[in-house]
Amino acid sequence: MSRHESREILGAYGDGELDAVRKAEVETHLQQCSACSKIVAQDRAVAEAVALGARRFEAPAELQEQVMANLRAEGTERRVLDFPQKHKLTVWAIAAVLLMGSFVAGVMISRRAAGGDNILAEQIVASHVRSLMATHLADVASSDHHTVKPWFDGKLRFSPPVVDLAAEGFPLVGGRLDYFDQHSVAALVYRRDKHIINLFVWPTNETHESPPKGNTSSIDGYHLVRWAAADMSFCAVSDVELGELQQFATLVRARQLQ
Amino acid sequence: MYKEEPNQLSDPSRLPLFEQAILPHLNAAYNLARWLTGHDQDAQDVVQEACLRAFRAFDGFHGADGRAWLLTIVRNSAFTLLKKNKTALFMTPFDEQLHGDVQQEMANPATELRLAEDAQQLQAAMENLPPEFREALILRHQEGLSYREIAAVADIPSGTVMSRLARARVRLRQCLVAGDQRETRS
Repeated sequence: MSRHESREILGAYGDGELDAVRKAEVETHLQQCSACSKIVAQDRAVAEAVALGARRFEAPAELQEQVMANLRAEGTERRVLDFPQKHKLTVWAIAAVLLMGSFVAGVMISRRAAGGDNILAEQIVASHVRSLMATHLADVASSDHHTVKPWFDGKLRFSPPVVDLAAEGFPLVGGRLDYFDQHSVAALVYRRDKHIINLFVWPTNETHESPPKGNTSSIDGYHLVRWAAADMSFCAVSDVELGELQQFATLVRARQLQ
Repeated sequence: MYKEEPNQLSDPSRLPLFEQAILPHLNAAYNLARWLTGHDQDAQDVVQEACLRAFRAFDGFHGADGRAWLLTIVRNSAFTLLKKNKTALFMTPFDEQLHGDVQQEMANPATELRLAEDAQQLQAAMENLPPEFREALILRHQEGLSYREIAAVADIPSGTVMSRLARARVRLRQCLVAGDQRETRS
C-alpha cells in the first residue's frame, strides 16, 4: 500500500483543491487505506457542520441603512475636501476647523487667500487625475460646444464659456461637473493628441490682472495654468508640455475676448 | 451621466457604483465580522468602518471581485479590533502530527452524524477556536472561497491556507467530540 497522505493533502482533496494528477493519486490510495478514508469522511462531516449546522449571521437591516448613511456623509465630505490620501491629516485638520463654525471658517478663508493656492492647485490636479479614470472623464461627451455649453444650464449657477479649438489642435471632448475648494466647478475636457486637458471654470471675485500667459505651476508632473477673466477663474491642467498648455490657455483667453 | 440634484455635484458615479459592486456582499461581510469578533455590535462597527475604508479606497478597486475585496478589508478591521481589545487567543504554534493523532482515535461511527446536530455546542466550539482558524473555516465552508481567494483575503500563502484549514478542522472536531463526551459546554 502506498504511504499515507498528509492531513493537508486529504483536506485539499476534500475541498477539491488538488490538480487532476494529485487527485487521482489520492483516490488510488483511498481505495486501499481505510485510515485515510476515515479522515476524509471526518473532514467532510466538519465541513458540513460549519456549512449547514453553524449559524450564518445576516446583516441587520439597520446596518445597511447605517452604512449607506455613512457613505453619503462621506461623499459630501469628500466633495468639500477631496484630497489625495497623503493629505489625510490636512483634511481632518481642515474639517475640524470647518466644524468650528463660520467665524473660524472666515479666518481660514482669509488665510487661504494667502497660502491656499498650493492646496487649491493640489485639489485641481487631484480632480484632473480622477477624471482620467474610466467612466469619469465627461458627463456630457460631445465635441460640439453648442451641446456642451447648454448642458451646464441648471446644473451650475454660472454659465461657463465653452470655446471650440478643434481647428487649433485642441478638440473638445466634453464637459463634466466637478467640485473643489467648496465650489461647484465646470470641467471642460479638451484633447491634445493623446493628452487630456481639463479646463476648470468657476466664478470668482478676484479682480487683479492675470499676467498674459497666466500663472503657471507644476505638481507631480502635471502643469497648471491659471488666470481670471470676466469674474471667472480658469485653470487648465494637463500633462502636455507647459508650452502647449500655455498656448491652449492663450487661445481660450483670446477666444473669450471676441 | 449626471443624475443627482444640482447641489450634490462631484463624483456622481461613485456611490451608485460602490453600492452595486460592494453592498451585495454586506451579509458575507457581517457574517465574517460576527464570527471573528463574537459580538453583534463589534461586528456592526467593523463592517461600518470597513465599508468606509472600502469607499475611500474605491478608486483603487478595479472590479475584479468585490466580495473578496470587501472581506479582506473586513478581516483586517476585525483583527485590528481584536488586537486592540486583546480578547483573542492568538494562534499558538501547532506542531502536533495531525495525521497520526487522529488516526489513533477510536472509531465511533455515530460521532460523525452528531457533529452538526447541536447548534449551540457547535457555536461554542467555533468560538473557542483561534480567530485565524475560525476565519479559514467560515471563508471556506460558509462563503465557499477557494484556497487562492482565502490566501488573498488573509494575506497568507496558499500552502498556509491548506495547513490552517486542516488544523482548524481537527481542532473543531476535537472540541466537538470532547464536548459531546462531557456534555458540559453550553
